[in-house]
Amino acid sequence: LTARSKPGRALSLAAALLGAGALLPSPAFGHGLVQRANLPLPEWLFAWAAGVVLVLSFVALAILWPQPRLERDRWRPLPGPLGWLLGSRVLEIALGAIGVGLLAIVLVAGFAGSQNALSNFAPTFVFITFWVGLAFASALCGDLFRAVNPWRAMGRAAGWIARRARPPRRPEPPPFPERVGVWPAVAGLLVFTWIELVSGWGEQPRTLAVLVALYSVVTLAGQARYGVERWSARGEAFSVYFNLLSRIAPFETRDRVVGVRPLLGGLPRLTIVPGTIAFVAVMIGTVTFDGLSQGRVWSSVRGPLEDAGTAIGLSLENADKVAATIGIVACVGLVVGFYALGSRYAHNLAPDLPAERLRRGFVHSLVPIALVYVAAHYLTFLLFEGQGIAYLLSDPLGRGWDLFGTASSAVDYGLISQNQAWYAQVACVVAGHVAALTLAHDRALALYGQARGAARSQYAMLVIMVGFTTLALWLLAQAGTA
Amino acid sequence: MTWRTSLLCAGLALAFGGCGSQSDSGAGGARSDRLVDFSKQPPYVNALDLDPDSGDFLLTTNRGFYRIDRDSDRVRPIQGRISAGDKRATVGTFLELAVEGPGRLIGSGHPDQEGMLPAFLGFIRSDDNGRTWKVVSRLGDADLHKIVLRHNRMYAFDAVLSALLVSRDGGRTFTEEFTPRGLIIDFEVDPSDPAHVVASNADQLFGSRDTGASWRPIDRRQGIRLAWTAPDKLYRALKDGSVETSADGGDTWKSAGRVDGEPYKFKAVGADELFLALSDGTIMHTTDGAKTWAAAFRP
Repeated sequence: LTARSKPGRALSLAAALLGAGALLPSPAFGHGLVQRANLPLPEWLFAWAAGVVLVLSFVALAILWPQPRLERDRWRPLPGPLGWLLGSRVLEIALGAIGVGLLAIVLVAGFAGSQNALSNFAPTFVFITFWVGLAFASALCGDLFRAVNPWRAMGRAAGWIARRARPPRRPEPPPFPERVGVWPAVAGLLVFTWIELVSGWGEQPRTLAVLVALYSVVTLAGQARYGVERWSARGEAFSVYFNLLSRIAPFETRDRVVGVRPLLGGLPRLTIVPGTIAFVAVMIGTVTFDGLSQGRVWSSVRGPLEDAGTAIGLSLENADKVAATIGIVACVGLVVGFYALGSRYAHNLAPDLPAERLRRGFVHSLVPIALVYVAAHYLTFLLFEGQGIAYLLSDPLGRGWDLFGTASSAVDYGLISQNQAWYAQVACVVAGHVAALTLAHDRALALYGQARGAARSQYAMLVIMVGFTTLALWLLAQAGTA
Repeated sequence: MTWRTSLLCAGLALAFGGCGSQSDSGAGGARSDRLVDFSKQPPYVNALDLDPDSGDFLLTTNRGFYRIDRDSDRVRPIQGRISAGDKRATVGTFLELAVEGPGRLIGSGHPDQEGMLPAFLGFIRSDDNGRTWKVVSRLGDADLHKIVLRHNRMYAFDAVLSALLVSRDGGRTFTEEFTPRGLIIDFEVDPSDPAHVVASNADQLFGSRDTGASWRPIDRRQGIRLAWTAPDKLYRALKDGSVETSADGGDTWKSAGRVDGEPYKFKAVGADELFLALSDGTIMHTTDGAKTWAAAFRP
């Protein structure tokens, strides 16, 4: 984009949208404000500041980023033997074995350990260390899950054994149906988040172990049908999830060599298949619901939904679950709709390209947003409750063991203050949305081939980014207001 | 701005502006709103204590500070005055208090009028049964939601810092340790161990063995209120009105009894004798370790 691309229009459009930021709840007097009571600035001011940063970033990109940079493949191996070492088969086998070992501990703890979720290894490991911790690690270090994925390790080991047992005539697995895309992974992710946020099963170690065992069976069956790598890339929800986030990281493994690339550099090379947009929408929408469910707005919506559920004969508990399920689906639908609206808007502004191509072309830019939604919402969860894994590892079954001498450790809630957490969350939100704008800008330059059309299309992306930023900050401000 | 942009803005405005408030019904049947304003957000009851001279209940709610005669059930509102420097305000609503001795109250809270004094009054003290108050420390910086006097120390939960404060000099200076996430709604100190603290937020119970420096989650229950009357007698009342006891500091619990309403504040007067204020200011009384309860006051 160039200075001729009317940044003034962008500014006026964005300024209008920034009004939404002012709608963040103001700090209430006294007890209405239960957290972050001593912020030096009101929360709405953070929203305004975040919006201003986005607009300035938009203008700066328009002026200073005239050529696509991230679209070009700039991967290079790590210097010396380090890249070969980190990508070696020996390390892959070792990490896979660790993954299988951790899966075994989860299953044993779930089935044979204490059924108090707070003293059992399985819930904390699955929902904090694995689900949240690995998301952060993937975005920083690359696709670690591919290395420690226990199902992939077991599938590859089984394949290796099968090849050695019957080497000559093993038929190739059938091709994965293209039209199915990543829809099995979408379903897997939606079911997992439903289990986490709605079902209450995560609080029951044995039930959780049953679910993990079932998922293992489904995954191994999928691998047996379509091949380990194909099923991991398309059907296995966690592989798709962590791979998407790992594309933000500056590290990538190719042909058993770990190399470096620009930050965000893996996302422009994301292959968009059927279900990719839905998968990203589920990533954002489910976290959105989790944030929403802790605030007053959801409290006021949930009541009538529960009443409707009980009126048709559901128990209050089941009515609550139905209400939450509706909430999750609605949040995912909201994200899909918002993105579709933005894509259509972009098409109207710059009709050179079909709307569908725009819709598919920019979805990779939502991945950093998905990450920062996770980061903003679960950062303190990981930093605080995540410490619990230290004592749970020493006593995974909750039987009073002290295997590693850490059983008497506890959680230090002074690791980061609430204000520091708030600053970190806001910084994450802003950085993620600036990253998304950058990706979208870079893609627009590549798609349109000329700055003018690219600039026009990006007004729509700015609308989307400011919308998601405001939503993210509003969700953070909502926490604890229920 | 196109119509789509306008529509989007309107949608955001609707989504973000629709913050309704909802009161918390809790357990129990009909509730009186004589002493409590249920149209406001919880908490409804902030403190319960006993005047050591008269035996009167001292109850603070989101409507104000009340002295309740135990024999006649007569309720007298008390509007205190607080001064700091040349500024003055009245206090009473949302007031945390604890009895330090005859006529001597300590507490924390907010001025009734905005703008007269800082929103957080810090640690305050009264030597005339709550009619006048002075700021002792942390004006503008602390909002103490509960105060426990035990082991020659003052323990308090500060909602501004989200920290457990401990003072050995009568509230002039404090050590600070961060508490678990979420608003701590109650905490207690082990009568036999000054470093052993249990605390609850809206849905979880935590324990600390190092005066709040680190915490372990113990149990998940809704709205836990606590009283620790003897080393082997830790009581908890749950949001649904059930009351349980623990002989091992909260690791295991036994059902003891039940009250009809949402429990808010315990006041222990012996190992087995306790009062329990419910959300509408009803005060229940037990003398048999929470097995049976009788109303000592109904608003």
